[in-house]
Amino acid sequence: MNDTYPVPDEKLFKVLIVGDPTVGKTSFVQRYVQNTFRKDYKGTVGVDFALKVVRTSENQTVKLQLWDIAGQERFTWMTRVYYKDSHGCIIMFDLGKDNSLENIIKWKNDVDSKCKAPDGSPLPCILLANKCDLPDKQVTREELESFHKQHNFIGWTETSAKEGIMVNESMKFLMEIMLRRESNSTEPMSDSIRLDVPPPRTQGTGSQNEEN
Amino acid sequence: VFIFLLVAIADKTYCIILFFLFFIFLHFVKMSKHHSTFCIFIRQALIFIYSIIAGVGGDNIEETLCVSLWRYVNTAGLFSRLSIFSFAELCNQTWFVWNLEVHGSIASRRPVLCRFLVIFFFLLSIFIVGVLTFLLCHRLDSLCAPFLYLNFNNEAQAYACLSSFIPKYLHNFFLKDNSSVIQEYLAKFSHLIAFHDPALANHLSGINFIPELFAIPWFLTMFSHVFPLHKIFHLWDKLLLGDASFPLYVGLAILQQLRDTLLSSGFNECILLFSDLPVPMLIFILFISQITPQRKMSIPLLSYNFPHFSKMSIVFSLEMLGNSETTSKETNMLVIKPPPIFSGQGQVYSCGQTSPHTFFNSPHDHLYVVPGSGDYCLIASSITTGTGRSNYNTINRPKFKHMISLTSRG
Repeated sequence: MNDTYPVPDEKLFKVLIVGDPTVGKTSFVQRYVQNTFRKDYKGTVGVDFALKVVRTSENQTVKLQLWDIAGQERFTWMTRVYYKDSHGCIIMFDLGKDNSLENIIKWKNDVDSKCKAPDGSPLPCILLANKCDLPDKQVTREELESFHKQHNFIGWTETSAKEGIMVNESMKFLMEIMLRRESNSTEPMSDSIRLDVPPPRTQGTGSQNEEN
Repeated sequence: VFIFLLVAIADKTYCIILFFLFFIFLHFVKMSKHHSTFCIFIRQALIFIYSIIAGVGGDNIEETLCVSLWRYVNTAGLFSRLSIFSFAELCNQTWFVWNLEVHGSIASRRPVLCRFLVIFFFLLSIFIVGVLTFLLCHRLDSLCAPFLYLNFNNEAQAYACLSSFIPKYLHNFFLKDNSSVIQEYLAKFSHLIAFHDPALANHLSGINFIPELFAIPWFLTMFSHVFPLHKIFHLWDKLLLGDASFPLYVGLAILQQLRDTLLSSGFNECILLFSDLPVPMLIFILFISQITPQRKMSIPLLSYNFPHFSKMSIVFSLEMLGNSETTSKETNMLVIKPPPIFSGQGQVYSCGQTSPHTFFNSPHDHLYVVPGSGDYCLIASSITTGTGRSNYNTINRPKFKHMISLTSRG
């Protein structure tokens, strides 16, 4: 693919975007990838894809393959196929709905049980509280602060796909974490000794037990 | 519900109690699992009934309400009212009622009738919104659209079409647990690809591009989720003549159409080819400028970049060009629809370039560009901002309305 021109360093990350229906996953992706917002609703069937190329430094570009996964329950049986080989995850919920937190746990468990990062640890997962431009918020910041720690998210923020608030910032944050993990995991791999792999695995299962 | 109805008819003051009880009920529902979707339609229903109550105030109201009542009871049962249009119509009538604000009140003269109507409409609105929620949740909306469009004034017939279409082509697709049904269907599809085009099947399974990733919206909505309505009519016309396995062959035909592209690309490109979301990669920038009134107005468009593809398709539709909703204000960027699957071949036009570049010109407002190397301009014939309907015969002799130049960068 890149035979014609040399690309110094190009990384590809697969990022999942999951969450209940109509929380704004597709809108978020559209805002991030092409900086637009559509008011009409067209539900996602199965899964949708988008690609964003980010230039992180002079000689490094990151390709983010965004998997916008349908939130409807009737597609959850498919998620195992969709989650495969992903590097990061966004779990999104609607600030205006008050049963969101239970569903986040459901999604988080679903992701963690079906998918592991390449090094065997749980996927780096950020929690996005979408629709923060709307006035009525059912979940407080304090709740979210303790919630995201308890359930092993790498971070959380309020976003608004409509107004474009914190969309790029949150993606940048996730990207940096994924890059850091990538560089950590590739260094021991160059020694071609796989003894380094088990410790993260135990960490991973340990943290999962905590959740359950 | 009947108790509520009786109570409401009995005395006006009990209406307040009724609402109070209803809110308790709402609160109870909130506790339950599926409250979020339920709450949405409860909220809409409340808005609806409020507007009805507030609007009941004139002589014409009685007539209006009775006419709507008659319409709703008259046709082939309530179940034929499975349409968004009905709801829109109902809302319209409600707002009409709301806007009348005629003095005097039928509520004082015919209290029983009035309350009956209010309750009836309330229940009806709950029912309709519930059905709507069901439709939207189950992706039936895309399936309903063609039938509703064609039988706009006869919804019972539209519903009859839908209810005989689904068992034939989408048998058991809308079960609560449809995983086995869909998996079976997709397995058949994979086998079909493997049988008819082993090379393609090999390539697709090599890059791990399985039908689960792209074909679910095709079959679950019989392609109505992925194609515009005017293409669906042609497709379904053909489909209705075939048997239940025909959709599989349509899917195969799509893959055949894109065969060269698919064979020459990896997982990423394949997936983006079928993606619903526009993908800007900023290597090709497409400019569109209006040249007819001797002034240039260029709008940078997002475009797809598949440098190694044998065929690249750029599509933009007129609705989108004219629609400011989809245009972001700061950048003036326009949204481009995903690459088309069906394309008709048109005349070759090129300027400013020695080597020929082909572009395929479909009958409907779409421009299909095959990129070569270097800078070149292409002239699109079918972009007109009028009715959005372009003449099929103008493909060979276009009216040059817009100029599109495709520049390669980097």
